[in-house]
Amino acid sequence: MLCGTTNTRLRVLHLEDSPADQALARLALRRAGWEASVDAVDTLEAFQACLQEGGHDVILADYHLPGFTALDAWTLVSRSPAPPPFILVSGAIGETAAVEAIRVGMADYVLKDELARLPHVIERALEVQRARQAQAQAARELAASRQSLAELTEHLQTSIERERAAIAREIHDDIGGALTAVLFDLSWIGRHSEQAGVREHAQAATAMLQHALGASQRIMMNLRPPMLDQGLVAAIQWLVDNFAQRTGMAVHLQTCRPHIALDDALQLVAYRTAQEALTNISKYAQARTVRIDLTDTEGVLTLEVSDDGRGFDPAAPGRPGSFGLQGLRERARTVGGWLDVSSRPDQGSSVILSVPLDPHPENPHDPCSAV
Amino acid sequence: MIRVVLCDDHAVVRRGIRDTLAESPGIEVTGEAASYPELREVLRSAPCDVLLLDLNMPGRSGLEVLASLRETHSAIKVLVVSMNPEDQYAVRCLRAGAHGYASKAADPVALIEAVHTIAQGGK
Repeated sequence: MLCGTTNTRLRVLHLEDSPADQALARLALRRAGWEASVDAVDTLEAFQACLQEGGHDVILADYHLPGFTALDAWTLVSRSPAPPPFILVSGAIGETAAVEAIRVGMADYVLKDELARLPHVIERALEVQRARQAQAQAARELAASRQSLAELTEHLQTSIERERAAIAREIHDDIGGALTAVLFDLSWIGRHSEQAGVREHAQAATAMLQHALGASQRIMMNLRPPMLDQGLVAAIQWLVDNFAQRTGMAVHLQTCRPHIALDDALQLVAYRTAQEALTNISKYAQARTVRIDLTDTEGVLTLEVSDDGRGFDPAAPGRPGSFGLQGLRERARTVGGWLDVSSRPDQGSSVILSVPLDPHPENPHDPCSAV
Repeated sequence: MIRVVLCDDHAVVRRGIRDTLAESPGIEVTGEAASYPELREVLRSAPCDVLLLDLNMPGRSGLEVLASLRETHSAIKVLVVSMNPEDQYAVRCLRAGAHGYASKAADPVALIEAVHTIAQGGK
Protein backbone atom coordinates (compact mmCIF):
# COMPACT_ATOMS: atom_id res chain seq x y z
CA MET A 1 0.00 0.00 0.00
CA LEU A 2 1.21 3.48 -0.82
CA CYS A 3 1.14 6.26 1.67
CA GLY A 4 -1.20 9.16 1.06
CA THR A 5 0.19 12.68 1.13
CA THR A 6 -2.98 14.70 1.66
CA ASN A 7 -2.38 17.72 3.84
CA THR A 8 -4.77 17.51 6.79
CA ARG A 9 -4.74 18.49 10.41
CA LEU A 10 -3.73 15.02 11.63
CA ARG A 11 -1.81 12.45 9.64
CA VAL A 12 -2.09 8.94 11.02
CA LEU A 13 -0.14 5.80 10.17
CA HIS A 14 -2.35 2.87 11.12
CA LEU A 15 -0.89 -0.66 11.26
CA GLU A 16 -3.94 -2.90 11.23
CA ASP A 17 -4.81 -6.05 9.24
CA SER A 18 -8.55 -5.84 9.83
CA PRO A 19 -10.35 -3.46 7.42
CA ALA A 20 -13.24 -3.30 9.87
CA ASP A 21 -10.97 -2.13 12.71
CA GLN A 22 -9.34 0.36 10.35
CA ALA A 23 -12.77 1.79 9.60
CA LEU A 24 -13.76 1.88 13.27
CA ALA A 25 -10.65 3.85 14.16
CA ARG A 26 -11.39 6.33 11.38
CA LEU A 27 -14.94 6.62 12.62
CA ALA A 28 -13.79 7.27 16.18
CA LEU A 29 -11.59 10.08 15.00
CA ARG A 30 -14.29 11.55 12.77
CA ARG A 31 -16.86 11.43 15.59
CA ALA A 32 -14.49 13.38 17.77
CA GLY A 33 -14.34 16.04 15.09
CA TRP A 34 -10.82 15.17 13.94
CA GLU A 35 -9.89 15.88 10.39
CA ALA A 36 -7.53 12.98 9.87
CA SER A 37 -5.70 11.47 6.93
CA VAL A 38 -5.04 7.81 7.69
CA ASP A 39 -2.44 5.65 5.94
CA ALA A 40 -3.48 2.11 6.77
CA VAL A 41 -0.97 -0.72 6.26
CA ASP A 42 -1.04 -4.38 7.21
CA THR A 43 2.52 -5.62 6.57
CA LEU A 44 5.80 -4.75 8.23
CA GLU A 45 7.33 -3.86 4.84
CA ALA A 46 4.56 -1.40 3.98
CA PHE A 47 4.79 0.02 7.49
CA GLN A 48 8.52 0.54 7.08
CA ALA A 49 8.02 2.21 3.69
CA CYS A 50 5.51 4.67 5.17
CA LEU A 51 7.76 5.26 8.12
CA GLN A 52 10.66 6.15 5.82
CA GLU A 53 8.48 8.56 3.92
CA GLY A 54 7.67 10.21 7.27
CA GLY A 55 5.33 13.10 8.01
CA HIS A 56 2.98 11.24 10.35
CA ASP A 57 1.76 12.87 13.51
CA VAL A 58 0.87 9.64 15.26
CA ILE A 59 1.17 5.86 14.75
CA LEU A 60 -1.61 3.48 15.72
CA ALA A 61 -0.81 -0.25 15.77
CA ASP A 62 -2.65 -3.45 16.45
CA TYR A 63 -0.65 -5.81 18.67
CA HIS A 64 -1.08 -9.17 16.90
CA LEU A 65 -0.52 -9.07 13.15
CA PRO A 66 0.12 -11.91 10.69
CA GLY A 67 3.72 -13.04 11.34
CA PHE A 68 4.74 -10.15 13.60
CA THR A 69 3.65 -8.00 16.50
CA ALA A 70 3.56 -4.32 17.32
CA LEU A 71 6.89 -4.79 19.12
CA ASP A 72 8.56 -5.50 15.76
CA ALA A 73 7.00 -2.34 14.37
CA TRP A 74 8.12 -0.41 17.43
CA THR A 75 11.67 -1.63 16.90
CA LEU A 76 11.61 0.06 13.49
CA VAL A 77 10.04 3.22 14.85
CA SER A 78 12.41 3.55 17.78
CA ARG A 79 15.36 3.79 15.39
CA SER A 80 14.06 7.12 14.10
CA PRO A 81 15.66 10.17 15.71
CA ALA A 82 12.29 11.82 16.45
CA PRO A 83 9.51 9.25 16.07
CA PRO A 84 5.85 10.27 16.37
CA PRO A 85 3.88 8.90 19.34
CA PHE A 86 3.20 5.16 18.97
CA ILE A 87 -0.16 4.01 20.36
CA LEU A 88 -1.27 0.39 20.63
CA VAL A 89 -4.85 -0.12 19.48
CA SER A 90 -5.53 -3.72 20.24
CA GLY A 91 -7.83 -6.37 21.65
CA ALA A 92 -7.07 -7.61 25.14
CA ILE A 93 -3.30 -8.23 25.28
CA GLY A 94 -2.88 -8.78 28.98
CA GLU A 95 -1.31 -6.56 31.56
CA THR A 96 2.21 -7.89 31.06
CA ALA A 97 2.27 -7.05 27.35
CA ALA A 98 0.74 -3.63 28.02
CA VAL A 99 3.32 -2.83 30.67
CA GLU A 100 6.10 -4.02 28.39
CA ALA A 101 4.78 -1.81 25.60
CA ILE A 102 4.90 1.27 27.77
CA ARG A 103 8.28 0.25 29.22
CA VAL A 104 9.94 0.07 25.79
CA GLY A 105 8.70 3.56 24.97
CA MET A 106 5.29 3.32 23.33
CA ALA A 107 3.13 6.29 24.20
CA ASP A 108 -0.07 4.54 25.31
CA TYR A 109 -2.56 1.81 24.46
CA VAL A 110 -6.30 1.66 23.80
CA LEU A 111 -8.52 -1.38 23.75
CA LYS A 112 -10.47 -1.89 20.54
CA ASP A 113 -13.73 -1.98 22.45
CA GLU A 114 -12.93 1.43 23.93
CA LEU A 115 -12.21 3.27 20.68
CA ALA A 116 -14.20 6.27 21.83
CA ARG A 117 -11.17 7.03 24.02
CA LEU A 118 -8.83 7.08 21.00
CA PRO A 119 -9.03 10.82 20.21
CA HIS A 120 -8.36 11.70 23.83
CA VAL A 121 -5.39 9.28 24.02
CA ILE A 122 -3.95 10.69 20.79
CA GLU A 123 -4.38 14.22 22.05
CA ARG A 124 -2.60 13.40 25.29
CA ALA A 125 0.21 11.56 23.47
CA LEU A 126 0.72 14.55 21.17
CA GLU A 127 0.76 16.85 24.15
CA VAL A 128 3.44 14.74 25.86
CA GLN A 129 5.36 14.65 22.57
CA ARG A 130 5.24 18.44 22.26
CA ALA A 131 6.33 18.84 25.88
CA ARG A 132 9.25 16.48 25.32
CA GLN A 133 10.27 18.29 22.17
CA ALA A 134 10.07 21.62 23.95
CA GLN A 135 12.12 20.21 26.82
CA ALA A 136 14.73 18.82 24.43
CA GLN A 137 14.86 22.14 22.61
CA ALA A 138 15.23 23.99 25.90
CA ALA A 139 17.99 21.58 26.95
CA ARG A 140 19.81 22.18 23.64
CA GLU A 141 19.45 25.93 24.05
CA LEU A 142 20.62 25.74 27.65
CA ALA A 143 23.64 23.67 26.64
CA ALA A 144 24.44 26.15 23.86
CA SER A 145 24.00 29.03 26.27
CA ARG A 146 26.27 27.38 28.85
CA GLN A 147 28.86 26.76 26.17
CA SER A 148 28.71 30.41 25.12
CA LEU A 149 28.95 31.51 28.73
CA ALA A 150 31.96 29.25 29.32
CA GLU A 151 33.64 30.61 26.19
CA LEU A 152 32.85 34.17 27.19
CA THR A 153 34.18 33.55 30.70
CA GLU A 154 37.35 32.06 29.32
CA HIS A 155 37.77 34.98 26.96
CA LEU A 156 37.12 37.48 29.76
CA GLN A 157 39.51 35.81 32.14
CA THR A 158 42.21 35.55 29.53
CA SER A 159 41.69 39.21 28.67
CA ILE A 160 41.73 40.23 32.31
CA GLU A 161 44.94 38.33 33.01
CA ARG A 162 46.57 39.75 29.89
CA GLU A 163 45.50 43.23 30.86
CA ARG A 164 46.71 42.75 34.44
CA ALA A 165 50.10 41.59 33.19
CA ALA A 166 50.29 44.57 30.82
CA ILE A 167 49.41 47.05 33.58
CA ALA A 168 51.94 45.45 35.95
CA ARG A 169 54.57 45.71 33.21
CA GLU A 170 53.75 49.40 32.64
CA ILE A 171 53.91 50.17 36.33
CA HIS A 172 57.26 48.43 36.50
CA ASP A 173 58.75 49.97 33.41
CA ASP A 174 57.31 53.47 33.42
CA ILE A 175 56.21 54.46 36.90
CA GLY A 176 58.75 52.28 38.71
CA GLY A 177 61.64 53.45 36.57
CA ALA A 178 60.71 57.11 36.93
CA LEU A 179 60.16 56.88 40.70
CA THR A 180 63.46 55.10 41.17
CA ALA A 181 65.30 57.75 39.20
CA VAL A 182 63.66 60.51 41.25
CA LEU A 183 64.51 58.61 44.44
CA PHE A 184 68.20 58.58 43.54
CA ASP A 185 68.16 62.30 42.71
CA LEU A 186 66.26 63.34 45.82
CA SER A 187 68.52 61.23 47.95
CA TRP A 188 71.53 62.86 46.28
CA ILE A 189 70.12 66.34 46.92
CA GLY A 190 69.46 65.39 50.52
CA ARG A 191 73.06 64.33 50.97
CA HIS A 192 74.71 67.20 49.12
CA SER A 193 72.71 70.28 49.99
CA GLU A 194 74.36 72.65 52.46
CA GLN A 195 71.01 74.06 53.50
CA ALA A 196 69.41 72.24 56.37
CA GLY A 197 65.91 73.11 55.15
CA VAL A 198 66.58 71.60 51.71
CA ARG A 199 68.06 68.48 53.29
CA GLU A 200 65.05 68.15 55.53
CA HIS A 201 62.57 68.49 52.64
CA ALA A 202 64.59 66.14 50.45
CA GLN A 203 64.61 63.51 53.18
CA ALA A 204 60.84 63.83 53.68
CA ALA A 205 60.28 63.58 49.92
CA THR A 206 62.62 60.57 49.78
CA ALA A 207 60.60 58.81 52.48
CA MET A 208 57.37 59.58 50.63
CA LEU A 209 58.87 58.31 47.40
CA GLN A 210 59.94 55.08 49.03
CA HIS A 211 56.37 54.73 50.24
CA ALA A 212 55.13 55.27 46.65
CA LEU A 213 57.58 52.67 45.35
CA GLY A 214 56.38 50.23 47.98
CA ALA A 215 52.79 50.89 46.91
CA SER A 216 53.76 50.31 43.27
CA GLN A 217 55.29 47.00 44.27
CA ARG A 218 52.14 45.95 46.09
CA ILE A 219 49.96 46.90 43.13
CA MET A 220 52.22 44.94 40.79
CA MET A 221 52.08 41.97 43.14
CA ASN A 222 48.30 42.00 43.20
CA LEU A 223 48.02 42.39 39.46
CA ARG A 224 50.37 39.55 38.67
CA PRO A 225 52.99 38.34 41.12
CA PRO A 226 56.39 38.14 39.41
CA MET A 227 56.82 35.07 41.59
CA LEU A 228 54.68 33.19 39.07
CA ASP A 229 57.70 33.29 36.79
CA GLN A 230 59.43 31.06 39.35
CA GLY A 231 56.74 28.38 39.22
CA LEU A 232 53.53 27.51 41.01
CA VAL A 233 55.07 26.13 44.20
CA ALA A 234 57.17 29.26 44.73
CA ALA A 235 54.22 31.54 43.99
CA ILE A 236 51.88 29.72 46.36
CA GLN A 237 54.57 29.61 49.04
CA TRP A 238 54.85 33.38 48.74
CA LEU A 239 51.05 33.69 48.87
CA VAL A 240 50.98 31.52 51.98
CA ASP A 241 53.74 33.48 53.72
CA ASN A 242 51.99 36.78 53.05
CA PHE A 243 48.62 35.40 54.12
CA ALA A 244 50.00 34.00 57.37
CA GLN A 245 51.76 37.27 58.13
CA ARG A 246 48.66 39.33 57.36
CA THR A 247 46.04 37.22 59.14
CA GLY A 248 47.99 35.50 61.92
CA MET A 249 46.53 32.13 60.88
CA ALA A 250 48.75 29.06 60.79
CA VAL A 251 49.09 27.93 57.19
CA HIS A 252 50.64 24.60 56.24
CA LEU A 253 51.68 24.05 52.64
CA GLN A 254 52.35 20.49 51.60
CA THR A 255 53.59 19.67 48.14
CA CYS A 256 55.03 16.66 46.41
CA ARG A 257 58.00 18.41 44.84
CA PRO A 258 59.70 21.81 44.96
CA HIS A 259 58.90 22.49 41.28
CA ILE A 260 55.82 21.49 39.34
CA ALA A 261 56.16 22.21 35.64
CA LEU A 262 52.88 23.56 34.28
CA ASP A 263 51.86 25.70 31.36
CA ASP A 264 51.14 29.36 32.10
CA ALA A 265 47.33 29.11 31.85
CA LEU A 266 47.07 26.21 34.26
CA GLN A 267 49.57 27.74 36.66
CA LEU A 268 47.55 30.94 36.75
CA VAL A 269 44.27 29.07 37.34
CA ALA A 270 45.80 27.17 40.27
CA TYR A 271 47.34 30.33 41.71
CA ARG A 272 44.09 32.31 41.44
CA THR A 273 42.18 29.41 43.01
CA ALA A 274 44.51 29.39 46.01
CA GLN A 275 44.34 33.17 46.21
CA GLU A 276 40.53 33.30 46.10
CA ALA A 277 40.17 30.43 48.58
CA LEU A 278 42.51 32.18 51.03
CA THR A 279 40.65 35.45 50.55
CA ASN A 280 37.36 33.73 51.37
CA ILE A 281 38.90 32.13 54.45
CA SER A 282 40.22 35.45 55.71
CA LYS A 283 36.84 37.13 55.11
CA TYR A 284 34.38 34.54 56.37
CA ALA A 285 35.87 31.40 57.89
CA GLN A 286 37.12 32.63 61.30
CA ALA A 287 39.62 29.79 61.03
CA ARG A 288 42.74 29.16 63.09
CA THR A 289 44.51 26.78 60.75
CA VAL A 290 44.66 26.55 56.98
CA ARG A 291 46.12 23.70 55.00
CA ILE A 292 47.12 23.69 51.35
CA ASP A 293 47.98 20.47 49.53
CA LEU A 294 49.45 20.66 46.07
CA THR A 295 50.20 17.46 44.16
CA ASP A 296 50.59 16.35 40.58
CA THR A 297 50.48 12.61 41.12
CA GLU A 298 48.56 10.13 38.96
CA GLY A 299 48.34 12.56 36.08
CA VAL A 300 46.16 15.07 37.90
CA LEU A 301 47.10 18.41 39.40
CA THR A 302 45.27 18.72 42.69
CA LEU A 303 45.15 21.83 44.81
CA GLU A 304 43.23 21.57 48.06
CA VAL A 305 42.72 24.52 50.38
CA SER A 306 41.01 23.58 53.63
CA ASP A 307 40.39 25.33 56.94
CA ASP A 308 39.04 24.58 60.39
CA GLY A 309 36.70 27.57 60.46
CA ARG A 310 32.97 27.93 60.85
CA GLY A 311 32.15 26.44 57.45
CA PHE A 312 29.06 27.14 55.41
CA ASP A 313 26.28 25.41 53.54
CA PRO A 314 27.55 24.88 49.98
CA ALA A 315 23.97 24.42 48.74
CA ALA A 316 22.85 27.77 50.13
CA PRO A 317 22.43 30.56 47.58
CA GLY A 318 25.46 32.82 47.33
CA ARG A 319 25.59 36.33 48.58
CA PRO A 320 24.20 38.80 46.02
CA GLY A 321 26.99 39.90 43.71
CA SER A 322 29.33 37.19 44.95
CA PHE A 323 30.72 35.15 42.10
CA GLY A 324 33.92 33.93 43.75
CA LEU A 325 33.34 30.17 43.72
CA GLN A 326 31.37 30.30 40.50
CA GLY A 327 34.23 32.22 38.91
CA LEU A 328 36.68 29.57 40.13
CA ARG A 329 34.51 26.82 38.64
CA GLU A 330 34.51 28.63 35.30
CA ARG A 331 38.27 29.15 35.55
CA ALA A 332 38.78 25.45 36.26
CA ARG A 333 36.74 24.56 33.18
CA THR A 334 38.95 26.73 30.97
CA VAL A 335 41.84 24.33 31.61
CA GLY A 336 39.75 21.14 31.51
CA GLY A 337 39.46 20.85 35.28
CA TRP A 338 36.77 21.07 37.92
CA LEU A 339 36.21 22.43 41.40
CA ASP A 340 34.82 20.54 44.40
CA VAL A 341 33.64 22.51 47.38
CA SER A 342 32.70 20.77 50.61
CA SER A 343 31.77 22.31 53.90
CA ARG A 344 29.42 21.95 56.83
CA PRO A 345 28.51 24.54 59.41
CA ASP A 346 31.15 24.63 62.19
CA GLN A 347 33.22 21.92 60.50
CA GLY A 348 35.50 23.91 58.25
CA SER A 349 35.56 23.93 54.49
CA SER A 350 37.55 22.52 51.63
CA VAL A 351 38.03 23.75 48.07
CA ILE A 352 39.63 21.27 45.70
CA LEU A 353 40.81 22.08 42.19
CA SER A 354 41.52 19.04 40.01
CA VAL A 355 42.99 19.29 36.53
CA PRO A 356 44.08 16.30 34.43
CA LEU A 357 47.63 16.78 33.15
CA ASP A 358 49.37 15.65 30.03
CA PRO A 359 51.61 12.75 30.94
CA HIS A 360 55.13 13.75 32.01
CA PRO A 361 57.10 10.51 32.05
CA GLU A 362 60.21 12.32 33.23
CA ASN A 363 58.48 13.35 36.47
CA PRO A 364 58.85 10.59 39.02
CA HIS A 365 56.33 10.47 41.82
CA ASP A 366 58.41 11.72 44.68
CA PRO A 367 57.34 11.03 48.20
CA CYS A 368 55.57 14.08 49.57
CA SER A 369 57.44 16.37 51.87
CA ALA A 370 56.62 19.60 53.62
CA VAL A 371 58.04 22.72 51.95
CA MET B 1 89.34 50.16 43.34
CA ILE B 2 86.13 48.21 42.75
CA ARG B 3 85.17 48.26 39.07
CA VAL B 4 81.41 48.26 38.53
CA VAL B 5 79.26 47.72 35.44
CA LEU B 6 75.61 48.83 35.47
CA CYS B 7 72.88 47.01 33.54
CA ASP B 8 69.44 48.66 33.59
CA ASP B 9 67.16 49.63 30.72
CA HIS B 10 66.35 53.03 32.28
CA ALA B 11 69.05 55.60 31.52
CA VAL B 12 67.86 57.86 34.36
CA VAL B 13 68.16 55.01 36.84
CA ARG B 14 71.68 54.22 35.63
CA ARG B 15 72.59 57.87 36.05
CA GLY B 16 71.17 57.89 39.59
CA ILE B 17 73.11 54.77 40.52
CA ARG B 18 76.27 56.08 38.86
CA ASP B 19 76.07 59.41 40.73
CA THR B 20 75.42 57.62 44.00
CA LEU B 21 78.34 55.21 43.57
CA ALA B 22 80.58 58.11 42.52
CA GLU B 23 80.43 59.31 46.11
CA SER B 24 82.54 56.36 47.15
CA PRO B 25 86.21 56.86 46.22
CA GLY B 26 86.76 53.12 46.17
CA ILE B 27 84.23 52.49 43.38
CA GLU B 28 84.59 53.19 39.66
CA VAL B 29 81.79 52.64 37.13
CA THR B 30 83.57 51.19 34.10
CA GLY B 31 80.62 50.46 31.84
CA GLU B 32 76.88 50.63 31.33
CA ALA B 33 74.41 48.51 29.38
CA ALA B 34 70.74 49.10 28.59
CA SER B 35 69.95 45.51 27.62
CA TYR B 36 71.21 41.98 28.14
CA PRO B 37 72.77 41.71 24.65
CA GLU B 38 74.50 45.05 25.23
CA LEU B 39 75.76 43.75 28.57
CA ARG B 40 77.55 40.92 26.77
CA GLU B 41 79.28 43.46 24.57
CA VAL B 42 80.20 45.75 27.46
CA LEU B 43 81.67 42.89 29.47
CA ARG B 44 84.02 42.07 26.59
CA SER B 45 85.88 45.34 27.06
CA ALA B 46 84.97 46.85 30.43
CA PRO B 47 86.83 45.48 33.44
CA CYS B 48 84.28 44.42 36.04
CA ASP B 49 84.45 43.21 39.61
CA VAL B 50 80.81 43.83 40.52
CA LEU B 51 77.85 43.88 38.15
CA LEU B 52 74.67 45.72 39.18
CA LEU B 53 71.99 43.84 37.30
CA ASP B 54 68.29 44.63 36.82
CA LEU B 55 66.44 41.34 36.44
CA ASN B 56 63.29 42.72 34.86
CA MET B 57 64.29 43.93 31.47
CA PRO B 58 62.72 43.18 28.09
CA GLY B 59 63.77 39.93 26.45
CA ARG B 60 65.13 36.94 28.30
CA SER B 61 64.31 36.08 31.88
CA GLY B 62 66.71 37.86 34.21
CA LEU B 63 67.31 34.68 36.19
CA GLU B 64 68.35 32.89 33.00
CA VAL B 65 70.79 35.69 32.23
CA LEU B 66 72.11 35.45 35.77
CA ALA B 67 72.66 31.70 35.47
CA SER B 68 74.34 32.17 32.11
CA LEU B 69 76.67 34.84 33.54
CA ARG B 70 77.76 32.42 36.28
CA GLU B 71 79.11 30.19 33.54
CA THR B 72 80.72 32.78 31.29
CA HIS B 73 81.92 35.35 33.86
CA SER B 74 82.28 33.41 37.06
CA ALA B 75 84.72 35.93 38.56
CA ILE B 76 82.21 38.77 38.42
CA LYS B 77 80.15 39.32 41.57
CA VAL B 78 76.53 40.12 40.77
CA LEU B 79 74.36 42.48 42.81
CA VAL B 80 70.74 42.26 41.64
CA VAL B 81 68.92 45.60 41.75
CA SER B 82 65.20 45.17 41.24
CA MET B 83 61.79 46.77 41.53
CA ASN B 84 60.49 43.48 42.88
CA PRO B 85 60.20 43.21 46.64
CA GLU B 86 63.08 41.49 48.34
CA ASP B 87 60.88 38.87 50.00
CA GLN B 88 59.88 37.52 46.61
CA TYR B 89 63.15 37.53 44.77
CA ALA B 90 66.18 37.70 47.01
CA VAL B 91 66.42 34.00 47.86
CA ARG B 92 65.76 32.98 44.27
CA CYS B 93 68.47 35.32 43.01
CA LEU B 94 71.01 34.10 45.53
CA ARG B 95 70.21 30.50 44.59
CA ALA B 96 70.65 31.39 40.92
CA GLY B 97 74.15 32.67 41.62
CA ALA B 98 73.74 36.32 42.64
CA HIS B 99 75.93 37.60 45.47
CA GLY B 100 73.49 40.19 46.73
CA TYR B 101 70.07 41.73 46.27
CA ALA B 102 68.99 45.36 46.57
CA SER B 103 65.47 46.71 46.15
CA LYS B 104 65.15 49.89 44.14
CA ALA B 105 62.81 51.17 46.83
CA ALA B 106 65.58 50.99 49.44
CA ASP B 107 67.90 53.83 50.52
CA PRO B 108 70.24 54.49 47.54
CA VAL B 109 73.23 54.93 49.86
CA ALA B 110 72.84 51.30 50.88
CA LEU B 111 74.02 50.43 47.36
CA ILE B 112 77.52 51.72 48.14
CA GLU B 113 77.74 49.53 51.18
CA ALA B 114 76.36 46.55 49.27
CA VAL B 115 78.95 46.93 46.49
CA HIS B 116 81.78 47.01 49.04
CA THR B 117 80.41 44.03 50.93
CA ILE B 118 80.03 41.93 47.81
CA ALA B 119 83.43 42.91 46.44
CA GLN B 120 85.00 41.73 49.68
CA GLY B 121 83.33 38.38 49.30
CA GLY B 122 80.34 38.89 51.57
CA LYS B 123 76.69 38.40 50.75
